[in-house]
Amino acid sequence: MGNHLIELKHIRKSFFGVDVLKDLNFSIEKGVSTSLIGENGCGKSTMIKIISGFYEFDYGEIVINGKKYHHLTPIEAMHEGIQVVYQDFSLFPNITVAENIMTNSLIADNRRGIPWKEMTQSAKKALERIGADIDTDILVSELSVAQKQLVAIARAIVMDAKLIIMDEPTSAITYKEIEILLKIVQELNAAGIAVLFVSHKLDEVKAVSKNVSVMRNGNIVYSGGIEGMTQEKMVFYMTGRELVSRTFIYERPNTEPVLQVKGLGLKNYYKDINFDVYEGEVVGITGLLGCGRSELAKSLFGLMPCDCGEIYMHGNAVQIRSVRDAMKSKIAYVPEDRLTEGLHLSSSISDNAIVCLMEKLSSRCGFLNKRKMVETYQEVLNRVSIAGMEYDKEVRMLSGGNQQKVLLLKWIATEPDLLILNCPTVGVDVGSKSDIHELVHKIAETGVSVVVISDDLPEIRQLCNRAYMMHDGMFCNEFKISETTSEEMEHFLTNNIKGREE
Amino acid sequence: MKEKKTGGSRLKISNEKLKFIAIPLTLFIIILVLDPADFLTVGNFRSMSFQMVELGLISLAMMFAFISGSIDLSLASTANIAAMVVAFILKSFDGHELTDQQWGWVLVLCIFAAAAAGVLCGLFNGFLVAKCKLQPMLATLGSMYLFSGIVFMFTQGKSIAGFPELISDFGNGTTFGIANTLFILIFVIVLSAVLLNKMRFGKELKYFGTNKKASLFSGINNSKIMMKVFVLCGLIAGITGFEYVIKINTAKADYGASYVFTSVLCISLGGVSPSGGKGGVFGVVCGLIAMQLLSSGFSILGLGTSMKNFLWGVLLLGVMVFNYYLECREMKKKYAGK
Amino acid sequence: MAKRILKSNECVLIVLIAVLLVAFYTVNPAVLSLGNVFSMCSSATLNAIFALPVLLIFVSGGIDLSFMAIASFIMFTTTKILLNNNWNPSIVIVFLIGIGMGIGLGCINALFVNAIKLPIFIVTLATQFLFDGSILAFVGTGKQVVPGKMADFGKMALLQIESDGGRISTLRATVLIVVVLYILIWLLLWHTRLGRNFYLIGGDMQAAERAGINVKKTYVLLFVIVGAICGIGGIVNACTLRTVIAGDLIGGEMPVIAAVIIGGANAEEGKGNVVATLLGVILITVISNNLTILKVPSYMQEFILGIFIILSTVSQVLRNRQKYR
Repeated sequence: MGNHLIELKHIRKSFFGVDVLKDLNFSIEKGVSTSLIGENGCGKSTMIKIISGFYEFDYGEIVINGKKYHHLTPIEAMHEGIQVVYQDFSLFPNITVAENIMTNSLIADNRRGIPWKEMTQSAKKALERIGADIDTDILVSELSVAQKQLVAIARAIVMDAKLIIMDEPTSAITYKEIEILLKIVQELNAAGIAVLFVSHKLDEVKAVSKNVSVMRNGNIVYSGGIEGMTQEKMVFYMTGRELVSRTFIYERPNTEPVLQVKGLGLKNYYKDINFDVYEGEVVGITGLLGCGRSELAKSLFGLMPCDCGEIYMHGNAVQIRSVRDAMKSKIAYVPEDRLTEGLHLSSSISDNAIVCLMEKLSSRCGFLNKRKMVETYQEVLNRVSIAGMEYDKEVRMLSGGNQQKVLLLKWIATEPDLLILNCPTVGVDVGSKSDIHELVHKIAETGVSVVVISDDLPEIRQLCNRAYMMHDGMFCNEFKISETTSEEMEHFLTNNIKGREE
Repeated sequence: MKEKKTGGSRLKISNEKLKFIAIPLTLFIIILVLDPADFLTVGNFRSMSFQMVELGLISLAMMFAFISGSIDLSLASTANIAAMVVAFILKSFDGHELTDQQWGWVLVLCIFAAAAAGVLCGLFNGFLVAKCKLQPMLATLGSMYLFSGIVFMFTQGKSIAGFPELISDFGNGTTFGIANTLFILIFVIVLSAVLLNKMRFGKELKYFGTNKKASLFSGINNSKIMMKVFVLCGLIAGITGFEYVIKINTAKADYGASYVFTSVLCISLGGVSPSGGKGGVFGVVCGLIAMQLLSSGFSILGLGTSMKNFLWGVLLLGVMVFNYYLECREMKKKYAGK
Repeated sequence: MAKRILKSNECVLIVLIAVLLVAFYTVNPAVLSLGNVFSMCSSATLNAIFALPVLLIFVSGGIDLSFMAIASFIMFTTTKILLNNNWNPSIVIVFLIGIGMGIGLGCINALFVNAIKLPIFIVTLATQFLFDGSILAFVGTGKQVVPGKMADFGKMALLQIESDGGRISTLRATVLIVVVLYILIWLLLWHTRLGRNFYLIGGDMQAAERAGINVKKTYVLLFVIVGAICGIGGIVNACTLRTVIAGDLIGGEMPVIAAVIIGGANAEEGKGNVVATLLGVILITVISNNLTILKVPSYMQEFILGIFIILSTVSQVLRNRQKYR
């Protein structure tokens, strides 16, 4: 009992009469890192918000350091040493790094003045503690994503935290930075700070935490030590069903490659890229974030046109300077960030399904063919089952996995020859993930070539038949998935990291 | 596309439209009950139809800007540039003895000249926003001053007046009992409705307004859309300039500056959101009628037009609070239904 | 660090003002005479006061359109109250009445901004019409001459210097109000929690809520402060003009907003600071005042103002682009 930092007892929470948390019991020990996993919509984020005092709970009590709360405010939670590193970091773009790091603690301490000098010093100290080298005087809007994450962590430790909740901290950073992050977590634990690690990636959970809790439908269905926990068990607890994963078997046809890239380069991002993709093939491109993989994909789609090299589609050289050029060459691109780059969130599902087909659905003088529009979106959306699907429902009402399906379908509807997927399952729960994988395989079987860009090695292994590894803007290895073990691939990836550090 | 939706949604759409009709209808009934004798006269309706044309035109232009998620503060100045062009053309023909038919051709020339002037202004705005990547608010604030400065320079700050009587007779005349200038408004309303609902441009505009980045990633030519929006705004503003010159028979640099904000009021009443992507011609027309009913209805009731601005403000705030309340209720329903 | 200062917006503005002054000076040396400098100060006073409410709302991520309507309402109503009661109190009391009324009107703004989840731009557009209309509808119309003590304050001189030609140049006491207000708001924005909270809300409202900031309460305080400054501005305007007309000031929003924008404030990003805003006001005053002295017709001034707004925003966009490269 006395070992518990925080205990949630019989917590209930409902929104508009719908129970999101049902009689939830959960506890975290002092100075220990615990992982929390669960599918999207299982109530994870609601629970985090209740612990951080952001939501009020309807019933039950929270015991923090032996003190009982029936009502918890954000300020009280902060005073109890609870800090959250949000998935979107929750930083202020318009103020300096130093002020971002210190603001929460100043607010929690109810200080009226602004001690500018002290602020910079403390901020520098906090950044040093986690080994980050960031100028404290620049605005946060000028930082990279990984730097923002470090600033968010620095902000949490500045507050004399006893518990740091990290909400999917690895979704935006690279392998190398994940390693640093894991090291930071260990150091925090050593310093007596507990960490609650929320993640979708099961291997990280194993690497980082001592205890694991699995949530499903507003309840904790498993709590215990990490030992003996296997990937399959975790998935079973999360989804309540067992998933069969299958690898993609592919036989190269005796034809010309669909996409051929020769000596492609873009200054500061990547150089001398050569590869080809055949009909119906699923090719993976993996590597650390910042290795140029996203930029390469964007170049193929005309968002960041390349400066040198040639791109051939079906053997014909094509110039891709804009998205429309790429679409004319029958290239489709599913972006990484579906919320800001992929979907029109407040538009209906049907409108989202046909956004790329405007040219086809209108006459030459620009009039829309409404009947064809209806037919098209019905056909497009009926390819896969989407939970909660209604044609005129706003896309934002769907869950992350179902949104991703709509995004994928929207591009499949353009009948592309080449489909580029950039991190297709980021933030997608395990159930939808396998649906999406199945969909990708189905498309490939119809003869569409697919390029998958991802830093998630298990995903690459499951989706692709061939993969390239990218490092510092260049391709360094090529793998046939069926002939390579996952250990070998990981070995190459980490070797590249070490190579970079030297 | 809307015809083929599921049963529940058809109901929702008509609800939406009902909401827009409700405001002017309620006002109509109130005024009708309070003073039917003065309100239900042909003269009153005619004067209302004369008054609402300019605001209606500017509001439609502003609607396009709002749907794209931007704003055009230079609409009134653009209208004044077009008005100046029309005035100069009319002046140059003033001394000549022309037949009625020839004057008709002069008017056609004026319309085209006004539209061209408006389009030029729109191109300038579009260039600033789409090519130089300025924020629309700042760019059009600058061009607002620029355009009215141009009119001031050419007119030396004086108003141009005194056109042939024939012109003002036409501008204040009626055909089949409907004000001639109202035909211009009706034409632009139909044009806007077709553009927005039947054309690819309207669909792409809504996509663009909802999420600019996603439309870029979906192969929509964002800068072309932005360009088109501002050209369209300029075009409608140019027509407005023509309309007011033939109606009030003067052109000056600072005419109708308040229309810019009044039009925002009008389209907000009509459910057009400043954050982009939402809105339609039907709502804007309802908002326009509501505002016109308020201002002329209350002067009929002898409450004085001084109440006008106050009541406009009250109406908009009331509608916003009401909409917010409705939205909250809808959210509750959606969650409960999950 | 030095590079950053050189590239800052403030530095560009100072250089621009200096260049303009030198250019005007070469054409007409009278531009830098004491008399003209004092007159520039007087004409900058009002814009400088009204730039503050605009700036405060800009850094909080919104655009206020009601500030002139609030000022106009207060200016007319205060005078009316004093005249109707045959009251000629000391100027301090007049300011207190104005500030009190400003706080009240600010609360109305805050009430609606908090009640409806809509941009400040739209809400204050509605309240602009509300305040503007209620002057004519409920307070009165026409012209009024302000009571004696207000007029005396408007005429009060801080400095009077007789130049060679026997002409007397006066620096009006109202300039002091600007100085005091700017120091206060600078302190507020840089050295108080509340002021920083404005920036935080302007930067990311959700993050601000998560950090434990009570956004609704902050909005109330924001609009109360804005209302109070508008009240002061309204009274200063009444004192300087000595006659108030119902609905005066309304419609003058744009030049003030333009000055704040030239000062580098940006509502979308929650950026802006007091010093640069003051420089923006000075720049606009230098242009418009001296063009008048140089006998450039007033109708040219709008044109030139427009060019300046476009150029300054283009330069800001260009500078930002360089930064991200």
